Amino acid sequence: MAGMSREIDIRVRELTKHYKVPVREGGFRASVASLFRRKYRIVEAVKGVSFDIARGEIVGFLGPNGAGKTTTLKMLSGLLHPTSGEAQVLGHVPWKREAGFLRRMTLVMGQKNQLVWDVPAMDTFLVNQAIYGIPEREFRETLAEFTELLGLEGLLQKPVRNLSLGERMKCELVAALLHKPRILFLDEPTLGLDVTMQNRIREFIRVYNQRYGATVLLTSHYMADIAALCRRVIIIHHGRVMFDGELSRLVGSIAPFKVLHVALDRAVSPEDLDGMGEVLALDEGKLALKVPKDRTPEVTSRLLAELPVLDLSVEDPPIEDVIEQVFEQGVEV
Amino acid sequence: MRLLGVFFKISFQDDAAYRGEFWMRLAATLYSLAGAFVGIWIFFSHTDRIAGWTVDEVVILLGAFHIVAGVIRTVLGPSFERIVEEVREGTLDFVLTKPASSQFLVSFRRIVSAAAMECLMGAGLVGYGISRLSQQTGLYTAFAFAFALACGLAVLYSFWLFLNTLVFWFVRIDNVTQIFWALFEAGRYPLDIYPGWLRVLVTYIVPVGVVTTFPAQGIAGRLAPASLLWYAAAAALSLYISSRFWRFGVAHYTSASS
Repeated sequence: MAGMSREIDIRVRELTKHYKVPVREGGFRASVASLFRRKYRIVEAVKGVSFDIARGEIVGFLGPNGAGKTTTLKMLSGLLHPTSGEAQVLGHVPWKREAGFLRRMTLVMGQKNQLVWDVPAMDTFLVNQAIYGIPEREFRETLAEFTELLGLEGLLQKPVRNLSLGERMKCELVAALLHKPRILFLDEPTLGLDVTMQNRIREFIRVYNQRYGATVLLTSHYMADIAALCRRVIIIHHGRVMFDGELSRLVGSIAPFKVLHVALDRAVSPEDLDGMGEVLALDEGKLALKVPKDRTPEVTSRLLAELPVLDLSVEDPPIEDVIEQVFEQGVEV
Repeated sequence: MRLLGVFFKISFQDDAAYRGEFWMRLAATLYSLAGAFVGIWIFFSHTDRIAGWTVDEVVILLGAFHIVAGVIRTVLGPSFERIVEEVREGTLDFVLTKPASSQFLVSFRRIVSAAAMECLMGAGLVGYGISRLSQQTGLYTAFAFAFALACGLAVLYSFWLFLNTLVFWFVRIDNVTQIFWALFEAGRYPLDIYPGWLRVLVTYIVPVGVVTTFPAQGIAGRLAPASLLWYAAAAALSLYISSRFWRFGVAHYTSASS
């Protein structure tokens, strides 16, 4: 799919956002002074970010806290005006907030709820049905489809406050997707959920993307989300794009090493492994070795020749480690 | 407008689940009404007129007061209840990313139908006052009452929206509605009874006084057509200004960080 001349759904050029934030100094005198004359400081949250996202892509948007991910998502969903730069989503300038744009996109935030706390989720769905003008029949069908995909049977009539975090998040997704948007901005949609629930949400996003050809920009702290859903990732750090490309290429170029997992017949001492690579773990006949990629064949044959190997597998390093390395090295790829 | 219907339907279903609240509200409204009646009775046991107002006219005014208060308690109060929290926590994002007017959504999204009881009682009072009025109520006076009441509601709504829009700058404005209600109490009595400076305050600066005085004057046949036009213009202007202010506020909104 990638590389073909597909339609561009999201186009971002030199997008920049500076916040003016009041500086609060500690102490009573400073507090009193700030009532009259505030000091401000400019925070450059996003500095000249550019990228294109084609129709139907799921792109992972990664970066440490404060990197500018959420600010970028907010500009793309029309909540914030940029300080400078341009963006087009489905041909609309997001921050003009035209109905034609808002109707076809959605924003899901793992830490914010749109569902009203004291009433059943169904009430919020009905309000959204009216806001988006979804015909009754389509509404019923979509709701039935999502209910089945997410396993929401019997939860829609319960007050939201009585739902578990996972159930609530599933209902949030339904509320956000009832109008079948073409563009999904998902900000930490699996935050705080257990592994089973994460899988379920992930699977739902994948199915929605395939069934409706939706374009998804996803942030997550869980690399499993990214690895399962995104072929392409954009890494942002200190408000700049550090990497934009296929996840596999990131792993290959940033982390030119492999991890060898070896099961041994008897315990070996670290001296036996001299010059083979970095020992990540050695315990009860189980060994993990970090080896430069070009030395992998050589080390593998040495292991097989010198040690009582029962089993051996060669793997890419965990994606978390790779991303962390990008941030630490600060290299642009 | 279909949206308004959905808001009403959903709110009604929720409220039906809490019947206790309905009776509580009814009791509270009756209590405040009784208090007002005692006040009126004390005043008028000494005199026929207060600042040119007869007892029946004051009863009509009281009715208008409760109609307006009822509308605010039914729609505006509950709808704006969450806005402070939403701005602080950033969940206003969900209102702003909807393809509908954000002003409309925050103004009418929640309707507490039990509170509409107060409107009915207000209407009853107005009816009672009219039935005792010495002069005949004609088509024009009835129209003047309704028209002035509608304009009054528009002015009051604008004022309410304006106050609440301040949330974008001050974030913590939980007290604003308290202040509003305290000032609104002034609408319980005819403007003419207030000393000059206070009358200016509640007519022009905080326009709560006119909201009830004008309709009551209208039904008493003391409101000229020209005044109605002026009033309509003032209502339109205040709606326009507050709506622009709201949009300005929204543009200022930066939404809480993640």
